[in-house]
Amino acid sequence: MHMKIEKGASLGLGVVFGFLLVSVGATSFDTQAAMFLFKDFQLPIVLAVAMMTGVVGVWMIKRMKASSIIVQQQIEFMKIPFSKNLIMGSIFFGIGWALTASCPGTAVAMLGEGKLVGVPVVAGILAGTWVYGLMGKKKQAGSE
Amino acid sequence: MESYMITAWLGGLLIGWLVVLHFLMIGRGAGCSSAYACVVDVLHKDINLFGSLDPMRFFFVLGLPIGGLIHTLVFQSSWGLSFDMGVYEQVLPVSTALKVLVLFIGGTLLGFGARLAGGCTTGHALVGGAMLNWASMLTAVLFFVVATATTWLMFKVI
Repeated sequence: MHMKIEKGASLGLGVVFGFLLVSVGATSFDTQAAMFLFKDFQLPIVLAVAMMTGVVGVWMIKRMKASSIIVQQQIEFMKIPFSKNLIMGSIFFGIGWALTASCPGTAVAMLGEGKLVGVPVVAGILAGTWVYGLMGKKKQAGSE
Repeated sequence: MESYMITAWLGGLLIGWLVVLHFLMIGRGAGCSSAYACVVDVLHKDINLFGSLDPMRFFFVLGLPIGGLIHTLVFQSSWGLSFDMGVYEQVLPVSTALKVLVLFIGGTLLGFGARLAGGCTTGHALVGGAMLNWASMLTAVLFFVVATATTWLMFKVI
């Protein structure tokens, strides 16, 4: 029962997020290019304000010791620890971001807008994820 | 700039609250890139490639195109399929097949890089930033610096 509500809530939050990504212009090639060429600060401002709002919200959740609404559990604030992989991953990701003017979230939202450019990007992300998974498996098998 | 866009500060405020709402409702941070791992995991049933995955991420990302569709139907003049790339038309190859190839390669780098870095713009910049996790914030800055350098190379040098 909880699982079903959680799935529905995740889907609903995703719908709102997709709507907002389009609203701020994150799914527009021109807005993305303008950000990286320092011609327009729409998206950097969106990111900065969203981060600051998030900091305030997370601080409030922690202060109120709020538990999650659906499952009534303690809210997990899982922080990704630092590793060298973060740096290598950033280089790949950054080049991909510039080549496609999208990130894994916006590419999918573009599909809903009828932007077919999202199709090869989404296919590529799936392929890259798959290759990463297979390489990890090989490494694991080698060390065993 | 697109005519339907909302003011940056308002958009930032709404996206920030959405990140917080996700924590409150689901009990965990939002994320996009691991949804792709969920899909690969289903396609590649025989072996477990990624360890434990959060299936809710898949449903979250499934909502994104629905949100995009609703936005287009409500706020944009008409919905239709297009392959328009705006200013990117100037820098990507003229042939459609080559464009698709460049976008596919770019996507591959996004997918591989996101898994290596443990998250994408959503997980590191928005959610990691909200938790003030310095490793995430550093990653987000690196994403941005590398993308900026690559874009300058594409538009100004080549």
